[in-house]
Formats: sequence, C-alpha cells, structure tokens
Amino acid sequence: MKNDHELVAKIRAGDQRAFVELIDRYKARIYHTTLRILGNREDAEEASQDTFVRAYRGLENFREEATFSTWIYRVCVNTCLNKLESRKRFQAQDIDQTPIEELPFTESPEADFAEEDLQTRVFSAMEKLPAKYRTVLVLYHIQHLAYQEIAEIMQMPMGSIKTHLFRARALLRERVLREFSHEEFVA
Amino acid sequence: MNCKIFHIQLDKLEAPQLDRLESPRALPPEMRAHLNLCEACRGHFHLYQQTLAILENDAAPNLPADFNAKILARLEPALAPVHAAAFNWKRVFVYAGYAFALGLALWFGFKNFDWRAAQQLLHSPAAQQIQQWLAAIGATETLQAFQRFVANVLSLIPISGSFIEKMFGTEALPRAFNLTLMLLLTFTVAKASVFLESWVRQISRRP
Repeated sequence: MKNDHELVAKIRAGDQRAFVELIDRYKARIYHTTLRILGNREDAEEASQDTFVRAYRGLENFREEATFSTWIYRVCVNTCLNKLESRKRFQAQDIDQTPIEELPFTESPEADFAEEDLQTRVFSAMEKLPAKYRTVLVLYHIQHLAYQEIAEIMQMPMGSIKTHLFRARALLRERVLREFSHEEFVA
Repeated sequence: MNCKIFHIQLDKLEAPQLDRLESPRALPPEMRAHLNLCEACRGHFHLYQQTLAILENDAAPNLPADFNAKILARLEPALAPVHAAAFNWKRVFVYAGYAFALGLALWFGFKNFDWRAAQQLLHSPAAQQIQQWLAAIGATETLQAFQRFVANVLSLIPISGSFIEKMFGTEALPRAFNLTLMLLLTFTVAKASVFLESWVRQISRRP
C-alpha cells in the first residue's frame, strides 16, 4: 500500500486514480469530523466534498514537511469553520460568553440514563458549544488526535489547545447536566 | 476539596488520567476522597464518564454511496484539462499529421489500384458468400442493407468513373479515387484518434 506522500506525488503527476485512493483513505474520518462539527448530514456531506475539492485544487500548496493527514484535517476544519461563520451560528451561542464559574451546579441526575438518550443529549449539547471548542473536542476525543497534531491543524500553540479542551469539556459537562436538571425541574 | 474545585480539577484532567476515567482510581487521591463524601459529585462524575465514553466510542457514520462520484464530478474540469481541450485545432492538427503519414503510405499502396476491379470485387465469390451467410442466419435487414450497399456502389462507380474520365482523362480516375480515399482516411483517423484519447482518459479516471 502506498503512503500518503507517494499518492500525492502521483496526483501531482496527473494520476487521478491516486486521488480516488486518497479520498477512500480519508473520507470516513473527514465526514465524521464534519458531521460532528456541523451537526447535520447535509452540511457535513457538502463540507466533506468541499474539503476534498479544495485539497485537490490546493495540492500545490501542500508542503511536505507536514503530514498529509494534518494538512487535510486543516482544510477540513477551515471549511467547517467558514461554513459556520457564513451561517452566523456563532451569534446563537450565548453560552460562549458565560464564565464557567457562573454556571449553576445541579443536583445529581439519575444514575443510569438510557444510553441512546444520553448520546442524543451529548451531541445536542455539543452542537451548542462554540465552534472552536467543538472542533477541539471532535479532534481530540472523537478523532483521537494528539495535542501536537491538533495544534498544527488549528495553527495554535499546544498550550492554547489544552486550554480550549479544558473549557470545552467544562462547557459540555455543564450543558449535559443542565439538560437533565431542566427536565427534573419540569417534572 | 469542595464541589467547585472538584469540578475544575475534573475538567483539567489530561491524558493518561483522562483516558482511564472509566475507573475513579484514575483520579488523584484528593478527588477520590471528595467523591466518597459527596453524592452529587458522584452523580456528576458518572455522567461525565458516560459523556466522554460516548465521544470516544462514537462510530464513523455511513457515507453516501455516491460520495466519490460527487467529488469527481465537481472536479471534472480540473481533473480533465486535456479532455476539455481535446477538440482544439492544435490537437486535431497533430493527429492529422500522423494520419497524413498513414494516408501517404496508403497512397502508395493504392497507387496501382484499379477501380474497375472494385466492381469485380463486389461480384466476387467472397461477396456472394457474405450474402449467403447473412441469409442463413436470418439477418434479413442486414442482408438487405448489404445488397443496397453493393447496388449503390456498383451504380456509382461507372457514373463517377466515366465523368472523371471524360473530364480529366483516363489516368485521372485512379488518382482522384486515391486522393479522395486518402483525404477521407486522414480526416477519419484524426477524428478517431482524438475521440480515442478522450475515451481512454475518461476510462482511466473512473474509480
């Protein structure tokens, strides 16, 4: 099996089959990432396709000191962030401005939630997080990338990535707790 | 340690503690001690464990079947610059050059071609045999088409032949025939080459 750099060299030489091979290698990861950042299949599919189209067109800008994986994730994340920005979703995320310390702690939720129900709530809560926090959560916890790789993808210092992750997890935890506590209060 | 500090510490956890969060034993002793005392935090911790487990184990969704095709369709102009430019004159002339060389070879091959022999060829045993085969396999439409073709060629050759002979002399006819043939071949081969090249590129691009 050819490595990414060999495939890239072949694509640059005009081998279109190599590009298809590269799509097959990355499409599941890219689609998964876009789906979790954007929150719906339609947008995710479009953003994934945009990612590969932009990657192909920008292949000449790919410098081989980075791994192809990092580079295509960067294209993917930028595509998603542009998409979110264009839809002005940031403005809807009022929680972004709320300091973590001010979020209320809630009573303990029921010990065991139905897994599917919890899953729905977790992803629903994640969708309401600010895009930058959601992105680091997806890259770290879902795509299982290392801090260093995430830092290269997002072009930020590693310390900032750790801070983002800390805030992202805190907000997610609070959002999930808040959903349950709200139901408890209603009940 | 109070609840607020417990939660801050919980959020600050990093790998490898975070990766082993399914067990409270992964927590630092102070946090474990708080968990033993605080029921609310135990519930929060349990929910936090489940939340992270959901993220960590989130399976990749199924992709649409036409995912690759849609990307390639969007890249069609970029992927096939040669295909887009396949019918420009420059390329046609290049192939015409090759075809001309081929035609020239054929020109010499056909130089001594006797057009009258064509009539004999269409009445030859081989032509008769073809008609018999077509009749035998019941290809009536093909047989009729073949017979019409033979009839047309037989009628055209003497007419055009006598016209050219009258106009340009007896030597002109085989030359005119050969020249026409060569031009036709040149054009056909050039066009076919361009189509063939586009087709090969298209086939090789398919996943």
